[in-house]
Amino acid sequence: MTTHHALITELVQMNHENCLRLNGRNLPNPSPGQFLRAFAVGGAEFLPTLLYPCGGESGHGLFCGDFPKGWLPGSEIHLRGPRGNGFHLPPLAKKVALTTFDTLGVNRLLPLAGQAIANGASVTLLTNRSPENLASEIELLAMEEMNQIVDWADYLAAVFPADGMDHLIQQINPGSTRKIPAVEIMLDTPMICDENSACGVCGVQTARGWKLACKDGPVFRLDELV
Amino acid sequence: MTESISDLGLSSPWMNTAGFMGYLPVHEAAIGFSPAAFVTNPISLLARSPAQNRCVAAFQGGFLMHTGHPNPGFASVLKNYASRWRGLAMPVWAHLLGSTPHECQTMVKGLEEVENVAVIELGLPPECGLSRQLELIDAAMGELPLVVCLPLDEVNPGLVEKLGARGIAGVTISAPRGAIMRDHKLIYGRLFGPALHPLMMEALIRLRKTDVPILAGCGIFSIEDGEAALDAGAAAVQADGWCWQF
Repeated sequence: MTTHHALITELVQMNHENCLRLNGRNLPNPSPGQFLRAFAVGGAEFLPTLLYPCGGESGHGLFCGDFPKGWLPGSEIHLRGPRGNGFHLPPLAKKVALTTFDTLGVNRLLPLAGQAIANGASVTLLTNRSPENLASEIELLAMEEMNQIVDWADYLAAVFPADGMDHLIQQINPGSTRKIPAVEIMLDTPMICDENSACGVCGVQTARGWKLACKDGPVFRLDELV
Repeated sequence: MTESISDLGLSSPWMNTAGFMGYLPVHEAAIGFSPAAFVTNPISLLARSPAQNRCVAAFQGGFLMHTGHPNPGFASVLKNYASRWRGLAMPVWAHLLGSTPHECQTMVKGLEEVENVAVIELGLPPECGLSRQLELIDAAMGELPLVVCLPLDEVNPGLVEKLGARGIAGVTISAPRGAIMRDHKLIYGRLFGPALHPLMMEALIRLRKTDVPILAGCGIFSIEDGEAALDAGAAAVQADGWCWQF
């Protein structure tokens, strides 16, 4: 496991969420849905901060996550990763739907949106909020229009808290979403240990038994989860 | 009487705490010490799933964690790791979770056949009365030295002396249990962090008068913490959450 060094160069408010712009040599480049573990140099935290890519060019990445208030421009951080199983956007998907069911910020989905747009897909974000920093190509649709999406999309990606799985099942209605060829869910859960330790805090019950979000996820296919 | 920790010829008094390094040591650890032994994640006879109420929460001075000690079960661990343990440059301490004497005995007998497993470290079930503790310890006594984990909030000289009389090789002062409020709800788990260091040191000093080697198994988050524990009489030190930092 290589430890990378980076400098926080900027705090960016994006879609109502604070994000970090990092600068560093050989900065890891996680794919959408993957994550980095981070500690501040000389910091007081005992648990790692998880950072998710949300934009920016290679070497000057933009990352979102629940980072400590003390992380300011000029702070040095250590990073490890990328880790985890990210989103797998089908290359031929031309109608891509994204949502967090308004449980979490949308920024983690933005790199996936960028990939889809680059592939020539139409991208729709389902939300009742008013995100302000979206690519102009992304269409916004209210959450109540989920039924429309089911008939339209050929790929749906969602981010959802792992401890709300029952609620997710209600929201996503697996019976109807089965019409969508590919549905992936990124579970938001603490992932605190290194790759080796398998502490179990991020355990996820799947159709094939218990999995670890830090290693087997945090992105899972919907049919694995229900 | 089995061997004491002091008789085991450890090249250094440093190692990891069970549950913080998996079933094989990391190749490129950012930890600040050279471990003399590798302590496995907890192993139970039957497979265990993650706890329904698993959680982790930071607090000033550390973090609380509850996982339920998920593991694939004794047979699966041995199948996947025993051959790799043989090839390690350091001895393996197998950390076992036994709820019954039969479970303890079965696992200990199985491990006696595995090369390079040097010590059994036994975790006792929570809120386990003394007579049950002694039953489990007696069942785990075999050819391999036995170290017993006692949480910081339960360890006392009288108990340690009773266990010592059974012939154990040492006692690890392990993470205590606690509770914190999060989102208006109490969550329970074990506590880790440098905030425990003064409590661990006090326990070490109280236990010095017993003849049982004591391992400092919580509150170690720096070389200085570890050296302080060793100066206070610890036979060895184990690092837990510190292993995950970089």
